Amino acid sequence: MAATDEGGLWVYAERRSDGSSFTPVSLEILGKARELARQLSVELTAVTVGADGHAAADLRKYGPDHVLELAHPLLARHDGKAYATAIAAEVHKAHPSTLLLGATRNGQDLAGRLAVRLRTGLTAHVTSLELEGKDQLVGWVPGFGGGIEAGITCPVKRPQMVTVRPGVFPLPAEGPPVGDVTTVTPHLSEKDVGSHRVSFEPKGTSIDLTRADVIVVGGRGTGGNFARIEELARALGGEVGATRVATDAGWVDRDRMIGQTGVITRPKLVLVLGVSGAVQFTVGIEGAGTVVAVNRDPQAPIFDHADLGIVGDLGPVVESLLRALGED
Amino acid sequence: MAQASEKMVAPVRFDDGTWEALAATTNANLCFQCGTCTAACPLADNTSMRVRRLIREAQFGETDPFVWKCMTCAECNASCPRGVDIVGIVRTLRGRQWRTRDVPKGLPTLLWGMYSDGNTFRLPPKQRASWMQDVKVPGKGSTLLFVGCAASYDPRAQRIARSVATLLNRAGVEYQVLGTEEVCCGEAARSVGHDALFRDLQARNTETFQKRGVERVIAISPHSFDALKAGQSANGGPEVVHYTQAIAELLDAGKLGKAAEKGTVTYHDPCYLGRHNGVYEAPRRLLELSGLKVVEMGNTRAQALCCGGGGGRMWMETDPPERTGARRVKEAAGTGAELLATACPYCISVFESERGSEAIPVTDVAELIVGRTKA
Repeated sequence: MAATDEGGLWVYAERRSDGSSFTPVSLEILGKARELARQLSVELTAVTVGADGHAAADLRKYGPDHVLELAHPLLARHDGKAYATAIAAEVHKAHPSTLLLGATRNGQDLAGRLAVRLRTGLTAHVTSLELEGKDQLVGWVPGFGGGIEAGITCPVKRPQMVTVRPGVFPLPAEGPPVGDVTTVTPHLSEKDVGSHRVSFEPKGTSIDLTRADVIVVGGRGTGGNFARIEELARALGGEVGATRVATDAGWVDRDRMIGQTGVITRPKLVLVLGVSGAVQFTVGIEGAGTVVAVNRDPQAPIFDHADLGIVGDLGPVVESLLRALGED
Repeated sequence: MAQASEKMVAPVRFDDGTWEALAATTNANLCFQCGTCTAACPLADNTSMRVRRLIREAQFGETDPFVWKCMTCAECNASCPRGVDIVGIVRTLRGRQWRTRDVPKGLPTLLWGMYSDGNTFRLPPKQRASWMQDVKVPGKGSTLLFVGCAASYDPRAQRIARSVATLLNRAGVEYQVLGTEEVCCGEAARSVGHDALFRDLQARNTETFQKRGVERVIAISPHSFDALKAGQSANGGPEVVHYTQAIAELLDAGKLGKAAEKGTVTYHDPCYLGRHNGVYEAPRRLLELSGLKVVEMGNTRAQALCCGGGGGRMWMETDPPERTGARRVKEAAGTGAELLATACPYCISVFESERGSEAIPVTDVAELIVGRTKA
């Protein structure tokens, strides 16, 4: 990359959290930017940030003139403050005229910080881009639920900055690798990093009841006492399931709800405890191997679906089962 | 800059496909954005559903994700000063979502079940006649009792089918049922916007109707009633009535006895019987047959609050605060009536599931009459 890229067009290529590939919107913008750079007769630079340079060369398949990779161990994970510090330093050196980013969560976080540091304007969330005059970009932003579109420009300051909504430009086809790759190690220290990861727990430790071989289902008749049901499920090497009533009551998470608006299961064995047996539930265990039902009411429709039925109070039955399984 | 400013006054971008589809299937162009629909919508109270906004967005080619929350209860249709078929707009918008499979979880499974098993429960077609148990069906004549999926398969709703058949038997009506030859009326497919499957199922039933020489169809579910009416009238097919209408005729003809007067009942108008088809009187007259005095709720007839089960919502989960069913049971209990009666298997299923601590028993009109009058 040339030491100075006066008037150049830069695209921020955001890495996915695994660091090995790029967000689709980054590539979409690269495709559009290729077209714009040609019209402007300027060079196109893809800027990427991360801990290492392994992925940067992949960007060469999307037609940039240069790939600028900012690599530093402190940049392994997105951090708005550190990323903005690293990119701003390069912008100050090279003076690009335009900087485009994807309007992802991280892209939005970064774009705002960068615009402040660069003392320039930012057009957020555009759905199309046009050129006007010598190098004026017009970013079109819908307003009022799509009823109007505003064309926004940044007439004085440079670089002009824009975030682009994902999906508005087509994904460019991959071509033969072009352009050079420059790796720069930004000057960063711990104090440049705004956040520290204490632990990482992916949201929704959701379980998949459709694959469970054994399910112990609790319904209204459990009165919310799922502790023993969990023990029973554990003793049988199975999972806990629930009816809509039990889920509505907050006794069990929604992802364990079985039935018409929940999960359709096919376990080898299902224990159905304190469940009346409305069809909206039973369609969820229609494919089960053996159905064992426990209910106080001998007339409960669940017994029409059971291979084995126990008429009795749930508490003593569950205790006996746990004893028989050697849990208590 | 001047160029950009000039541009700002004009550029409104339509997704012509959406608008063209709406223009072809509905009268959406009549909407003048007054917002009466939003005010009438039962979801406006506790969700961000805004019907006016949904139509506005549709005019610009956008599809509001709230389109899937709609219960197609038609309170908006009933209140629209321009007579816009807003339910039709919802169905069309949903239909367009199928092209990109941008549909709620569970709906593809529902439709596949309707397609391959001919019912909404994914249960074997051969079990379809299991509702009959000990009820004898004359099995002759040109009148057909169309049972529908719920009353065929749902043990709770099967009681409605048996009650309706019992009343027809008591009055000496000649009728037939299709048994395992019956397939789903397709209403759920139409509600979730899959018109092709709806038409396919209609065609399958039409063929059976013709083969059996059916001239009149008595539907148990208001959803079947509405869907068959729409499908059959288009084909010049048989007359379609709801069971409450058919039994009200028997009452007029003096073929059914009246119970001694005692107690009170409140009646919930199912959307597909009331607002969609204007049947308000027949079920109320039948209730008088039961000897119970009808006590009306505040929101009744054309203003009845939906149970929440229409528009395919029976197959989509609804967050508890957004459920109208619980509100409706509370309203019914508030009348002081001893019973809540209705004439739709979906309403009954929803009310029984969502009544919470309300003690008021839920019953179907036909069940109530059978239980309280003599053969």
